[in-house]
Amino acid sequence: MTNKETKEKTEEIFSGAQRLISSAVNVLEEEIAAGILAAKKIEKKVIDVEDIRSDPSDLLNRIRRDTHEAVDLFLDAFTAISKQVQNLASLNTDKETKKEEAPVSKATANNGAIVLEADHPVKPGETVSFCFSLLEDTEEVTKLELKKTNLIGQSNHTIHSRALKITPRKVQLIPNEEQEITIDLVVPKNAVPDQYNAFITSASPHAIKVVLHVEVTND
Amino acid sequence: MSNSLMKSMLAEYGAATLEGINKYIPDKEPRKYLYDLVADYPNRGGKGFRPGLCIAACKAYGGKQSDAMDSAICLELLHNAFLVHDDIEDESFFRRNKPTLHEANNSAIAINVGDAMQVLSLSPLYRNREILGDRVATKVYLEVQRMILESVEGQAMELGWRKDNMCDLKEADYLRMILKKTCWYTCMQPLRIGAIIGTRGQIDPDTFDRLGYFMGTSFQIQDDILNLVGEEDKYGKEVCGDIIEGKRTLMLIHLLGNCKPAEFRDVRSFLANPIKDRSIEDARSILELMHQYDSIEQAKKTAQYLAGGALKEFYSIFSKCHETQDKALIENIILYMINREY
Repeated sequence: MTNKETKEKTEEIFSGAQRLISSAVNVLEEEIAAGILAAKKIEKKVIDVEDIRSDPSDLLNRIRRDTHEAVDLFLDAFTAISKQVQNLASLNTDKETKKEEAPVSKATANNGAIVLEADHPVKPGETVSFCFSLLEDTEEVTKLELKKTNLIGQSNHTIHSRALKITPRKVQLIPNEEQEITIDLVVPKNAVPDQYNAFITSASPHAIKVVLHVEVTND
Repeated sequence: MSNSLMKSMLAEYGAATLEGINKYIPDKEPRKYLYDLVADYPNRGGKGFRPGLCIAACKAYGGKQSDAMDSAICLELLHNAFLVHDDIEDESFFRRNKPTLHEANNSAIAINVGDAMQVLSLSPLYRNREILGDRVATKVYLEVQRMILESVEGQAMELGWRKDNMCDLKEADYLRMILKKTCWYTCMQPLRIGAIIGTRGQIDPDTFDRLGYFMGTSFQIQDDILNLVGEEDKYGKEVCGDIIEGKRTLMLIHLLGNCKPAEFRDVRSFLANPIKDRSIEDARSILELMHQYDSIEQAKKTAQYLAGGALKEFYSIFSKCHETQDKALIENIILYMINREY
């Protein structure tokens, strides 16, 4: 085969490959677009956005109801922690009062307090994991170290904080970086059944407030 | 990396996945017509391609094998569930050198076994929450949901073509069908899921779409070629079986688009018959025509071009990853496709 023939053959192969890849990419992009459109249509059918928008009071009530539940849990945890931290002992722990106070506390709950609840009761000796993400949405690099409290039961039982393992404990986030934090709780074999809460925090100015809630049961 | 190391890594990941699958199969009755049969196809020994890609992508992005195991188990269980149902839909006789499940039992039992495998694949998916956390596990769940939908849509396309005896299909139709039927669940989702796990959800999984698509299409075309020119013992399915089943392969589409009108009518008439009435002699005649019109050579080139496209995508995506055996494994799978001899 002469150089010219080799060159022509190479060009033919290149052209054939280019045409094929281009055709394949077009098909892929069409299908991805079709998939996105279909998903949006389903979402529109399943969640009637217009209907929700037409009744803003109902929407607001739903948000309030969800927030109340979250705030209740948050305050339960906070109350438990207050038993451990003496300078918070004066907080009002009355359940009814909490309901009344909830709108006031909503800002606290919305401004950084995350409530993570184990989705099923765990037995002594078992492990349960909690996860959340940190997103650096400013233009700064953030360094923080997460701290943990003991788990305090509603009946004053305690699980030592060493049962909690935070991974990673020290975090450095660059702008727009998201980092997942995993907290593993190995429930001690001698743990007493109770509803436990723990508090995961970081020092200011990058305040992180996470409440962990878990039910330990022998059943 | 040598091909033998590539095969041994795939075998290792496949074996770990199989061990996991066996753990998820309930040890209880009914065994004879359900749980023993659930274990049948996975234990016949496949290539371990899907779990291999998933685990390798996870590790290439810094994750641990154990983090990806449940997802790999889910993918392999679903793959085998698809095979059980596909074999019934395609009226296939052999799978991995043994009678297909419905041939060895009956279609009703095989359908039920396939259903059970699909349900069992949910367990490892659910368990992901404990290992990966809610956020990453939810991402993996959504990937699997999408993968199943794409696959059944692709299967519907091909079954529809066969039912309507479509004979005027083009290359782009094939590329679309194979994208949906094969690529999502063979390459795209295993890579996407592995990378999601390896990066703890930090990566945009769409990054892998072209790579997985080119790989998957090349893989499927080569598999279809082997059905025509491979040795039955090595291939594990009846040779020319795809022609008898009327499968719209790239070679058949090429032949129908290039043969003479009289030949076109003969092939169309063959495909219009019920599968049981299609003879092996007629199938071999069609294979001869495919050779005559260079349909197989063209398909080999197409597979090679696509594998080349996959390699380019691979270098562009994985250049950011450290040099690891798992990164080399993915690269070698693509190189193997490019250099494949039949």
